[in-house]
Amino acid sequence: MADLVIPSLLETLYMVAFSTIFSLLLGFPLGILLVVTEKENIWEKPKFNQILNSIINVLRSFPFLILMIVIFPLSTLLVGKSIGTTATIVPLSVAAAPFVARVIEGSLKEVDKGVIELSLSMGATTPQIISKVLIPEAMPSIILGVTLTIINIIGYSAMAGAIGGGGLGDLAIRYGHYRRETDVMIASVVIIVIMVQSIQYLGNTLSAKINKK
Amino acid sequence: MTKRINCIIISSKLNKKNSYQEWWRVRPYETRQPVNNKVPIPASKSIDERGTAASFIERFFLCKILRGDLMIRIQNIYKEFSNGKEKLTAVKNINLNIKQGEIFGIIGLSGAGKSTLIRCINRLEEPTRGQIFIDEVDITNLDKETLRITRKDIGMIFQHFNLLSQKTVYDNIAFSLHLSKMDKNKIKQRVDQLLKYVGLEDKKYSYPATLSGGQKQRVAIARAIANNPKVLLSDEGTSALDPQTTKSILSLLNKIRKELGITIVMITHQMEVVKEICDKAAIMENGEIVETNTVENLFREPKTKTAHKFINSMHTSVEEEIINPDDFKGKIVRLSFLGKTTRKAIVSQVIKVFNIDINILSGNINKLQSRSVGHLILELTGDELEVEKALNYFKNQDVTVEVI
Repeated sequence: MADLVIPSLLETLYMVAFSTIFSLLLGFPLGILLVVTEKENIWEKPKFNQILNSIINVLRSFPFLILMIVIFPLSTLLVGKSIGTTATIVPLSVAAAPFVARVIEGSLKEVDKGVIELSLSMGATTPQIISKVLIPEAMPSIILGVTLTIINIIGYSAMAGAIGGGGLGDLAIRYGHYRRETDVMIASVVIIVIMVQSIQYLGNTLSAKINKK
Repeated sequence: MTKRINCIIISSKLNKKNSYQEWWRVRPYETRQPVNNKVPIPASKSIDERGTAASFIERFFLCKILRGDLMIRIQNIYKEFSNGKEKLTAVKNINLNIKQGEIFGIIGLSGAGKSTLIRCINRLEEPTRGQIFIDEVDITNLDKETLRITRKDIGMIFQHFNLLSQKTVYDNIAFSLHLSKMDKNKIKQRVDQLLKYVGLEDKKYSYPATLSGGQKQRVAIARAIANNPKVLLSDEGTSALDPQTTKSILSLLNKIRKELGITIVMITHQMEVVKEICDKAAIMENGEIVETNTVENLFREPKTKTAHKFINSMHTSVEEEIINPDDFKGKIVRLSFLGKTTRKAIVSQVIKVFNIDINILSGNINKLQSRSVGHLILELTGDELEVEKALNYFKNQDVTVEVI
């Protein structure tokens, strides 16, 4: 069984790791934009904010399976195929990016308005406020948000397995469900549960450790 | 140089005493734009005709002389908030002149608009109308970028300190220096110097969460003066602190004013703060300034009801309102002394000279920034004429008398 589970685990780790990176790259700036372009914030652009908000809402409300199918052409364009572990990274990243944007938005909004006011009173530029105040002050909360994102992507990646994404989800469905090999099913589920638990634990610990508040 | 300036003053027929107001009247409104963001050109011909670099410098000094080194000039400032249909005027027609090196208090109850006013000074709040000059730069007329740079000259401290919670005391103080992209070694030197100045050397690597309120405000003050600002704004800077800590923070602010010559504007609702360190104070009510005076005169002769209330709020022992003149046979008077008269035995002299009885109902002495102000509430009984004479005697001794 190990020869079945280990490659699938590696596939899952590969998918989750890269999807996390890409979704953060996409979602982090969006999250920042959501906050700073808000009314009465440091880079007020209400129209832009409204449009960005709607786009993110639409993307967020897309059921993941459907999004994946819709995105097949994009996956083909980017990685040359629409099925397989690497190809799945594309819909996973796209699906998780708006989630990341919301998570980051939430974290940044927790930052005390007074601190931003202070930065303004000291003559900080908008980029300086973002990089020296907003992000560092929100860091403990951002780490928890990223943890949440990774766990979400693990869940999505299991689903992606159902349409040829590979990984533990794929294993659980093909062997565990279709071939009724319950032990494989149990093994995959247990591994996923352990993964989620340990990531949550790591995230909580790290966040608490860096939080000086 | 001095001679030439004198000559200019004479030639432009400016009366030196109130030359500052005169000066503005001479110039048409349109020319009130700062030249190179520094000095407005007076309209007087003798100056304008020259138009050389040398005369520019002269103009600069001329302005300084005429204005008596004003650091902040607030002119007709209005701030309106519109919330859909409703329009709220938070600040109405404010005019203030604050001298260089002065500690100026603005006192008022919450909602009086004082916080909005101080935030207009560095344009954290955009004034709807009016002008604010800081060191002769029209703040209200600056574009965003120039404003940002000018703000480095205006330090600010807040009621809730607004420290960066994820940064050490060191990094908090270094914050504004980092923003100015100062050299790392220089930052280190400057921060160490500031830590010493505010007495927090041992807390260099602590995080704000581990500090007491007073220590937090010291960090905030160090951070605010790191860039050597001209002006320090304090928005209820001591309101979250206990009386003991408030005193120590106030004496730190006083030290800053004395040693660094920084002009300080303080917003507060505590008369104790004004009493302790302010030179002048303005009393705000419903968005307007109802009274401006030196703190001594404010304590001695408060003109408005609000001022009375604030001063009385300090007299914890006996509230004036409690004393009802109808309960007493004699005449109830309130005496206010200033400075030297607080040390004279005036009351006993009056008893000796005039044939009246004096009953002391309440009294106190408040130590102000430079002098002390005393209040006494007395009941005078005896012949009406004698009482009248006694009151006149008090008045002649430079005591303010008020019959309640």
